[in-house]
Amino acid sequence: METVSDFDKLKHLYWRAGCGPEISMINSNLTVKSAIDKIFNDAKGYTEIKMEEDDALDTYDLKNQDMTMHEMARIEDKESRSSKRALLLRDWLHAYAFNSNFFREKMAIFWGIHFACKMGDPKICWQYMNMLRKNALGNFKDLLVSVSTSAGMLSYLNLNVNTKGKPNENFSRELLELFTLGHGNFTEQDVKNGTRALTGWYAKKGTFEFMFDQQKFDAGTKTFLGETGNFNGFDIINIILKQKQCARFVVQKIYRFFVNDNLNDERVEELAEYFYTNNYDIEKLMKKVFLSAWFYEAENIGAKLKTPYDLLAGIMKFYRYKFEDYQSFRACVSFFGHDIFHPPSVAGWNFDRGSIDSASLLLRLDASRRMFQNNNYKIIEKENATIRMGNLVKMDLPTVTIEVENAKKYFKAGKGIESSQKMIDFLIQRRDKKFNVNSKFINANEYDFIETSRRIMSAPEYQFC
Amino acid sequence: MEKINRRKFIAQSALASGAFIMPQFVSALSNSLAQLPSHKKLVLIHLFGGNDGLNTIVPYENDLYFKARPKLCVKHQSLLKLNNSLGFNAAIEPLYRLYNDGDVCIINDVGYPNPEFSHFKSAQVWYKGCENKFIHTGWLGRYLDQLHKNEVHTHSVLLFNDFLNLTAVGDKISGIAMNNFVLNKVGVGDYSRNFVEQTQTDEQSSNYNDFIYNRARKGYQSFDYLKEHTKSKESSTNYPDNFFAKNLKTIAGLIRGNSITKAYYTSLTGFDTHANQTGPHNNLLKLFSSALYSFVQDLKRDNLFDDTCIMVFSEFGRSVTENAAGGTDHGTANSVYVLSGKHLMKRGFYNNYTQINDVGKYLEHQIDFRSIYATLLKKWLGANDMLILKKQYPLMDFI
Repeated sequence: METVSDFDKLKHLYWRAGCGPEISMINSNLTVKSAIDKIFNDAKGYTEIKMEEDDALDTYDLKNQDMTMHEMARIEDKESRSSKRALLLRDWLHAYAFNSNFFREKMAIFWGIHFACKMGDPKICWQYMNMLRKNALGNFKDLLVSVSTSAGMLSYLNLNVNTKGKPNENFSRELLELFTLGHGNFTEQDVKNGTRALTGWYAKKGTFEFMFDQQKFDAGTKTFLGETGNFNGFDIINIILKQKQCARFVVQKIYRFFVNDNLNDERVEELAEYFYTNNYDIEKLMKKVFLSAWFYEAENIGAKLKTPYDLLAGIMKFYRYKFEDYQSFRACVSFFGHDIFHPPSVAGWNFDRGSIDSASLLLRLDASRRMFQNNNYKIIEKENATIRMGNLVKMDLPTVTIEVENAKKYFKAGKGIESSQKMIDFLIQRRDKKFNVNSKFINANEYDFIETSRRIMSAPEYQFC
Repeated sequence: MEKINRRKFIAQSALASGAFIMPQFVSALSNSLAQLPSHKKLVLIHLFGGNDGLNTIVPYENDLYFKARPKLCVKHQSLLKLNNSLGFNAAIEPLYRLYNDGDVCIINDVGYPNPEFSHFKSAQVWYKGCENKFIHTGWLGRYLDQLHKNEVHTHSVLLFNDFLNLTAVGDKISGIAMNNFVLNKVGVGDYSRNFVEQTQTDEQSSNYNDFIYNRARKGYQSFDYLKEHTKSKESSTNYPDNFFAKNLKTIAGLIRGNSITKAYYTSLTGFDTHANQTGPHNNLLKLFSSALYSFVQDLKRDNLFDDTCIMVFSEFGRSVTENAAGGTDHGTANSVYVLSGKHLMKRGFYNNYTQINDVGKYLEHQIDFRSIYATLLKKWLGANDMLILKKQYPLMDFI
């Protein structure tokens, strides 16, 4: 069996539990075991992401005749819902890329993909996002209940209009098919009776609190997954969780997302059993995954195509690349096609290796180049840090900053070729013979921190983690 | 699940005679099939989410329709009536114009046995186009597999879509997904391109890196090819300003530019109207049909419509009965629209219109959608339908 070095194991762990290692990991004394402890310990921290209030209207006097059209447009745009959503998403991604509790954020992103929910109102997005972040490593049951009773989901899958005698099957079906049991593990009758049990739920206008209307609840007897009673929505969630298939279905998704697209039935079964007997404790399950010897086997290293978030946040982490305004972020995310508040369909996204389509692949390969549009940035020295300010969206505003002094120091070696090799070792997970430091595309003799790293990140190998 | 047979209802409708409904223009023109179909183009339009067929073309004389949809029914004043019993929803007026021009064949009650009620499962059934459960490829992917080697390119089957779906996945080769954002707006950079184009990889390898190099290499080749073939002079037809219309405009540009592409697929999403459906559904119908109208006029202007066949479908229809939220739930059979020029053999309605004879039940399909595929493959694309669909489906005579 191919041996995997401790360095590669650590990198693997940091890519799967987050969006790649910190430069500081390299010279640390971390072992895989101590790194896991640190990751899980750091992930306990949770701080709510705040919704930025608009202050643009206070800062600018709308009656000021001198204000340019450009400024006017900027204020109007900032007022819009989409800019508020972009700000939320930016702050989330910044938290993922730069905070020590990145593992919590990664789990929250995973749940955001699992519980795909399309939302328009920024306040609902904000509520949903923090709900996922808060429950990301807790108990799957609490998470499932929180999702089901969130204003976002109540509205997206029409639970708020599902009432006695006038059923709306949308949520009941997706609850069974996409969130818990999977296709083929329930009947149409279960969908219909689940729909009846889920009547009477709605979100209060304005505050978006979960409410229950007894008048609209169908209190009749229902048979659901083999059990009969006058169940309500919470009862049917409990009945679903009694099925071992629910644990299996969730574990399969976790395995595909965190380990490998190709399921290993034996391991899935073992993990499902563990998840089920540990009362759906997400943190315990994930710890078991990362502590398993098979997790670090060569076949799993670099076997996953990065999600668009991991690709973007990984580059951000490396350069400490921050979006100073939402426009630059929005422009950047549109290239990646993954706005978590706007899934392409109820089933969310498919990030399996085989699913990568040509158009988005060509964009993804271009990511690092695009994030440093050649002609659009200038260097500003600020104390010891080098900050580059670019304008991705061609507006006269500073839009992104980077801090690379530490990274520069680390990779600085005797010759260009050594620096480049160090960088390849750090950035690329799955290497084979044809990708090496002598490749003329890397141009190692002309080593330059930014230029060389951008080139390495443009290699198709960088798409894997 | 109980289903109803439309024919039972027909007896009580104005269409009891069983005569096909003809559009206002005279009648179907007869055409020979003598012409070789080699340069024919197929364009699929997927109305994703399940379009509500009953509110698109409305059986307005059927009391049961109004009984099933007291709130959701399309009112008489919002109908473009064809005769005493059917009307186009005014929101889809451009399709009504195409209908009157004799460009449309409406095939009703299309579906398949043991219908799936999940969007994804049902869409997979349509994309796959084959009943053999051991086959995991799509019908246009298998079509691509058996093309002559001079015609086999990833862009021979083009999904003008943000995602690749099973439709274009073959055993040996898959079609390509491309969108206007990449093709016409941002382009592709040369850093990665250098890596990909100057690195040797094994075409057949399933090694991860080879896989991504190979897919990217084909992506760059197809990107260049498609870019080159959209350079033909700008269309003089006005299209509405939305992404769906832009997709169709680019497809028309590729057809005009003589791209080798045989089959195109594009989709419009949002048809999963579980709640407050009337406004959004009408907007979608308007958006869809006005873009389609421009597309057809564009093709006609350059005499390309005769060589183009458009098929419009949804993965399923919707429930006959409205739900409490002013929406409809997932249903079964639905209508398929086929549009083409002089080779269209049936104009107007191919078969009798979807009818309801019992509120609260699902519609039963009369025509397996794979019969439409078989017909398009054999009679339009000149392909071996049995080889691709793995079964002999009855051929139809709409084209």
